[in-house]
Amino acid sequence: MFTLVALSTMGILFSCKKDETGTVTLQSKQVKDLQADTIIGVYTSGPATGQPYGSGKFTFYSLETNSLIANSDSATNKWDIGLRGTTIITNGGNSGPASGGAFVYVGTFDDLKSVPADSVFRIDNAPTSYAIRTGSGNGWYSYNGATNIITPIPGRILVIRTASGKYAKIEIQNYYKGGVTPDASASDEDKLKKQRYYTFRFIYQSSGSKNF
Amino acid sequence: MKYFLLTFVFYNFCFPAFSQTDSSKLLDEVIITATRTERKLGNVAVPVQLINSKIIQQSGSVRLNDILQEQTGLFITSGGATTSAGGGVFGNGVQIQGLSPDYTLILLDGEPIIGRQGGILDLSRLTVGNIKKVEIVKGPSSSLYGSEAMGGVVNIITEQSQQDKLTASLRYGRFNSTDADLTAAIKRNKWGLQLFGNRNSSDGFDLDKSTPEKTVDPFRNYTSQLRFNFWPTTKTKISLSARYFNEIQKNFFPVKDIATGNDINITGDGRIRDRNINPVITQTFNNNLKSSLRFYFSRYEYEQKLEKQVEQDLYYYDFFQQDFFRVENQTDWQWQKNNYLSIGGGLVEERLNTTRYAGKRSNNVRYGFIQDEWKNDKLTVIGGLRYDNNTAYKSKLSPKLAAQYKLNNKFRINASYGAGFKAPDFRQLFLNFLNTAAGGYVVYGANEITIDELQVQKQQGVIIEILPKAYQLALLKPETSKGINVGADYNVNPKLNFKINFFRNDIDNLIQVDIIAYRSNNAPVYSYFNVLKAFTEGAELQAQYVLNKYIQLQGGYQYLITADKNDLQKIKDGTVFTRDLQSGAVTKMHRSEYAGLPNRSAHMVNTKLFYDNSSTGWSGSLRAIYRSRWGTYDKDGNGVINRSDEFAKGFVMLNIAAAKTIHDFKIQVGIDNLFNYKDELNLPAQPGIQPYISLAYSFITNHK
Repeated sequence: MFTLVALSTMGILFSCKKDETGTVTLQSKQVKDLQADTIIGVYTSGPATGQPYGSGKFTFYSLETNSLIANSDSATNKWDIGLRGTTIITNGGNSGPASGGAFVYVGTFDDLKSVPADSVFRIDNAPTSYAIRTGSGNGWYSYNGATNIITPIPGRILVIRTASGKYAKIEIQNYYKGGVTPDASASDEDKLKKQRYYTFRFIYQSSGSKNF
Repeated sequence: MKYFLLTFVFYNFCFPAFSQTDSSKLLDEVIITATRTERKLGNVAVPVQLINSKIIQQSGSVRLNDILQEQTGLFITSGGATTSAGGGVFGNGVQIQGLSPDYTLILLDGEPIIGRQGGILDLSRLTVGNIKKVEIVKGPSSSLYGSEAMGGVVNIITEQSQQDKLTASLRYGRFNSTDADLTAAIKRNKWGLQLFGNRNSSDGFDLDKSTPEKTVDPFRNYTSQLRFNFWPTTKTKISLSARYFNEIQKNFFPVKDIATGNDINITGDGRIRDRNINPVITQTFNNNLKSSLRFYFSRYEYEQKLEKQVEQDLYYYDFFQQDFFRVENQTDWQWQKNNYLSIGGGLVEERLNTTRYAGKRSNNVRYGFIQDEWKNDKLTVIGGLRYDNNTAYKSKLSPKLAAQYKLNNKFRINASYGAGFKAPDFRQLFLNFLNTAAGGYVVYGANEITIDELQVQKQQGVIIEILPKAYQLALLKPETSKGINVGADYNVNPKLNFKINFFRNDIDNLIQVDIIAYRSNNAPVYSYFNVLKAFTEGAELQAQYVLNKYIQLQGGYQYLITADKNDLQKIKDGTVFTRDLQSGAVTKMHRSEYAGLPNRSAHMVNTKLFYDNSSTGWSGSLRAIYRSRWGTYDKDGNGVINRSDEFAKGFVMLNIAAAKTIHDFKIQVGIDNLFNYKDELNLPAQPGIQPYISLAYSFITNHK
C-alpha cells in the first residue's frame, strides 16, 4: 500500500548532457517527491507524545533501473538505496545482503567526474553507524532547531556503491513535497506533512567504471 | 537615503538660526564606569558614551531600550547569537561592538542586574524615570567588572536627592500603554531621601491578525525604589538603596490538541519579581585616600503557570529563582602626585533554584583587582588586572592597558587593550535534563557528567554508544574576548567635536552544545564544550555640533564586520557551497559572500537634533536611526549567512517629540516610529507607529 502511494505521486525526469566533443555522456536523472516514510500521525500517548511517526518502513530504490523496489524485497539485491526520514541506507553491511557502501563527497555534482582512487566506502552498521552519516551537519542535511526545517547541505554528493558493485553519484536537492521548502513561518503541521519527500538527481555508471 | 535628506530639510525648515553655546563643556562631564573612579569624560582613554537625563527627557523615552537604541553602535535585539525566525521571546537586549546581549554587563548604580532569559537581560524591565545618566563603556572591561563585561558595560546611574522635590508624570500612548512616575525627595544637611515609583502597562499588540494570539501579550509592571544617603561626618557617607520590580504578563495562545486536531486555548500568567538591596559605606580618610564597602543582594524570580482555559488543567509550569549576593571593598589611593591606585576585592555567592534542574545549585566567586593610573599634562596610562576564582569553572585573569595622549587642547588620541570573559552559566554547568516529551534526549551540564559515568551507563545498557567527543569532556573555561580600541577626539572649535574609534574583538572558547553519546532508544546525549571562535571589528564615528544656544546636532555611524572563525576556515578550505535561490545550482561559496554572524548590520547610522529654549519653555527632538540589512538564519543548508533571502531588510526609523513647560507644568507629545516600520518575523518587539502624550507636574518649585 505504502509503496503504491509512493509510486503514484512520484515523477521522473530526465536530462541529457553532452560533453565537449558532442558525444552523449551519462544521463543525469531526477527523482521527484520520493516518499520516505512520510508522516502519518502523531503520538497521542506514551513517552513520545507529540512526536510524529510514519509507517517505520524504508522506501527502497534501484538506481540501476531507476525505479521503486517493493518493501518485501528488502532482503534482495534489487535495491541500491533505502530511505526513511533523513536516514539513507545502502545495500550492504547489516542493511542488506549485497556489498554496497557509500561516502559523502564534498564538492559539486559536476565536479565529481570520477570516484577518487583513495576513497573509502563506508558500510552500514545500524543503528549506531551508517555509511552515510546521520545527524545534522554530519551527512547530507542540516537541521535548523529554531525553524524545524531540514535542508540538504549544498556541495555534498552521495557516492554510492550499488548492490551490483557499480558506482553512482546522488545529489539530494530537497526534502519537502514538490521540491519546495516551507517558509520558516509555516505551521508545524505543514512542516510535518510536507517533509520526507525527496527530490534528488543521480548518475548511474552501468559500465562498472568509476568515471561519471 | 531619501529619508536623511528629508530629515535635514526638516531641520533647516523648522529652526531658524540662533546664537551659540559651548560644546567642550561636554568633555567636563563626569564618568565613573570607565575606571571605577570619577573622571572627566575628556580624560578617559577607553571608548565611552554618556546619556544624561535631559537627553532622555527630550527623547520621550520611558524604558532603557528606548534610549539605548538611538545610540551609536548599540543595537537592541530580541535574539541571541543564533537568532531564530520567530525571535523576540527573550525581550530587548543590547548588542555592543557586534557582541551579543549575552556578553554585555548591565549595572544599576554599579551593581549587576541579574535574571537573564536565554542569555538576554530584558532592558524593558528598567524604567528611565529616575535615571540621572547612563554610562556606556565599549569593549572588554573584565579587568574591573569580571564576568559578562566582554562587549561592554552599561551602567545606569539613578537620581539622588539634591533638593526637596515632588513630581508626578503620566504618559499615555497607543495600545493603551501607560507610564506613570512619582518622585519624592528630601534633602537635609546630613541626610537625603529619595523615593520613586513607576507603573508601566500596555495592552500588547498583534502584528499578525490572522492568528488568535497576540505578538506581545498585555502586561503591567511596577518599580519602586528608595535611596537614603547619610553623612554622619563630613568624611563618611552611608547609603542604602532598595528596589523592587514586579511584572505580570497575561498569556493567551491556542495549541493543537494532538488527539482531536482541535485548538485548545491556553491562558495564564507570566510573573517576574526582581528585588535588590544595596548598602554602601564610604570613608574618606584624607585627600588621597578613600575606601568603600559595598553589600549587594539581588533576587530574580520568574514564574509561569499556564492552564487549559476550559478544563483548567495545568498545561505548563516553570519556576526560576536566582540569588546573587556580593560583598566588595574598593580603596582608591593617590600614592604619588601623578599616580592613582585602586585596589579591590570581593566575594560573590550565587544560588539557583528552578524546576529546570534537579535540586538547587550554587557557585562562589572570589576576586581581586588592581588598577593604577599615571598621568602628566599630556599622557595618561592606566594598567589593570583582575583575578576571578571559583570552583565550578576555570579561573580567569583579566588584564587591561589603556593610554591617552593629548597633542594639544583640541586633539587627543586613545588606545586600549582589554580582556573580557563570561563565566559558563548555570545551564552550561548544571543542567541535568531528560526530555520525556520530545524523543527522550538528555542534556548534561559540563559538571554533571564524566566519561566514567557514561561508561557505567553503557554497562547498565542505558547508553549504546559513546562518541569520541565524550572523551573531551572537561571543566568548562569561561568564554573570553580580547579587545583593542584605537581612536581620536578632535574639537574643531568649541561648537564642533568629532570622535573616531577603531575596534577589534577576538572571541574565544565560545560554548556550544554537542552530542557525546547515544541512548539505547537512539536518542542523543548532549553536553557543553568550548569550541567556537569569532571576531568583530569595525569603526565608529561620532560628531556633535552646537548650532546655537538652542539647537544641538548629533550624528553617529558604526561600520561592523563579524565572522565565526570556524566558518571562515571552512570557506577557506573550500567546503562551503551555496544553492542559487532561483536556479538551484550549487556553487562554491566565496569569502566575499559570507555575511558573518547573524543579527549584525554592517552599517548603523543615527542623526539627532535637540532643541531647548528655556525662555519660551519649548523643547523637542527629532531622531532618525538607520540600520542596514542583517543576517537572520541559514536557508540553503550551508550553515552560514550568504544568500539574499537569508537577510532581514534594513530600515529607517524616525522619532519625534516636542514639549512645552509652563511654570511647574510640562506637556509633551511625540511620535515614535513615525514611518510605521514593522517586521513581524525579524523584529517582533517593534509594534509600529506609537504616538503618545505625557503630562508632568512639579509640586515643589525648585529654589536654586
